Amino acid sequence: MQNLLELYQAVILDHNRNPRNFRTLPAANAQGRGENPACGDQYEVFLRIEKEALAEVTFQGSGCAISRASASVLTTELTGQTRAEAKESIKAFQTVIETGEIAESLPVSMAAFSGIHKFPARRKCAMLAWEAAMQALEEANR
Amino acid sequence: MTIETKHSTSFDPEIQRKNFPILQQEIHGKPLIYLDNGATTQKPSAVLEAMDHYYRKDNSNVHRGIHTLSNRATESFEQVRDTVANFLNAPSREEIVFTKGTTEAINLVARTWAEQNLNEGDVILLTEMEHHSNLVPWQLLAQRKGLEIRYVPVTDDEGILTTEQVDKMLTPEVKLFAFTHISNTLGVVNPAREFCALARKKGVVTLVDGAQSAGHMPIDLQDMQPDFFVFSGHKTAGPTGVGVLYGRFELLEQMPPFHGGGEMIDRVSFDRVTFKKPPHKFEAGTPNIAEVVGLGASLKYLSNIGMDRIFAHDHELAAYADEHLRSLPGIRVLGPRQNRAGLVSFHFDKVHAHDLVTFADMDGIALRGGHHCTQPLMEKLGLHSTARASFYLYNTKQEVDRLLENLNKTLSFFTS
Repeated sequence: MQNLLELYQAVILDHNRNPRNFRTLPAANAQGRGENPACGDQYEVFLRIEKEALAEVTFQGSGCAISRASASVLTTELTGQTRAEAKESIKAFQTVIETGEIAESLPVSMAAFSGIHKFPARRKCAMLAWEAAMQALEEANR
Repeated sequence: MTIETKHSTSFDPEIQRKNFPILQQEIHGKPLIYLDNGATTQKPSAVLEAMDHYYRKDNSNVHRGIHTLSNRATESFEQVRDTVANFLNAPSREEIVFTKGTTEAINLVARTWAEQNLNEGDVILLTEMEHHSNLVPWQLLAQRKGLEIRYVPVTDDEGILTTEQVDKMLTPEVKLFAFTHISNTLGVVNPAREFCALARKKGVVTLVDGAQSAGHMPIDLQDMQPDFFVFSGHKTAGPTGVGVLYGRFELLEQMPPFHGGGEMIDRVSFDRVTFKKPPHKFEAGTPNIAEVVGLGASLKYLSNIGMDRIFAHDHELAAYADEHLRSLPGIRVLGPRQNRAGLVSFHFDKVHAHDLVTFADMDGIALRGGHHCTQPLMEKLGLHSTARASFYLYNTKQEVDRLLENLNKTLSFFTS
């Protein structure tokens, strides 16, 4: 039960119940799609990039509590970051998911996902929207 | 449709459990409750021992040796063909082809019989509840040959397909009707005998996907009369990597070979080759002998218990689960209210199947969550995923109670 509580921390439950920025973004100038063919979970991440910064980040789609909460956290963390910062954040999040290790500077809402590395089958869920965001950023570079 | 019970008494799952070594373990500190039998079933000691014995005492190549071990291996291997024919009540042993599994068996029919007999404009009739393994081989063929695929529709959450629906869709352009015997997502048991009779009357060839039925209910092919029937060993308490294609001999005889190689040839020279008769024509290369031996042991094990009793037991557990699940808040239970096969899929509006399955796992309960390789059906029902509990002869009512307790706990975690 301890592991489970760690997995579904208050932060995750909250973002699952009340996902932030959960809408399409008609003004988006970059978007990415994350899909887990094994379970049918799918998300779209929308970015409105103004000059170098991510002025708005939203998402849409459906999936489990982990994938939904992580998508919601992504939008709150990436909004206001520069493109380079956003890429760093995505890499930092990936490290948390894969190793469970939390860097000191890591925001609490991202650190909340550290329990997931103990559940290998669920890592993909946590990364889904973040991979979509990376794809959107790379597409915007072109 | 009801399954007749020949055996008067039921069997004790508690006694059967002892024959399955894998069940004697704890997961996260709780006794393992294995409810993912729709994906694969566990194997009794009899199967493990038969395969072990084969490798320790009889291992040799089949069909070509003169020495004692080769004779023993060939005999063990070919005896299983008789065991399978008896198990299915097939007209003859020559109609039993060993494959890697259900998927390979369906691909074999698609690449041989269908490749040879279907032409542009012909229609393949499937149903909307097919597993990807009975969809994709036909889609590949249809793309290559300009065929059309039509689907008998699933119209509600119960998912019962009627003979009227099927009859109406068996139009003159339809050349093949391939359908699942038991839906792995809905738990519907299709009236295979009636469907095959309707198709036969109109000269339509039938393929019955028995992946979910062969290990769970009595199969009588002389009564059902399909043209093709396929199943996998690993879903009949046997090993992975082995399955069966039953084909009517007349069709098998006319079909071109599937794979080329050793074992399947009659005579080879540098410029021509003649093939063996079925079934060996379709068994190129050294077969998976140990797995076939294991399959034989599993079918004997099941027959000794009685397939009618296994069906009754699985059905009872699924009906019990169905009844109690429906009282949980925000739940949608798929599948028929009557004559359900031994599985039940369900969806909660507040909890995603993956979260549910993770919570179940922490209590030692193995469930499946996802689209169950029936994505088109899930889309039709407006769902991305469901959780599924699927039962077998070693499951008990107490285990279903444990599942219900666990689901209640998970629900309150996510909704309180």
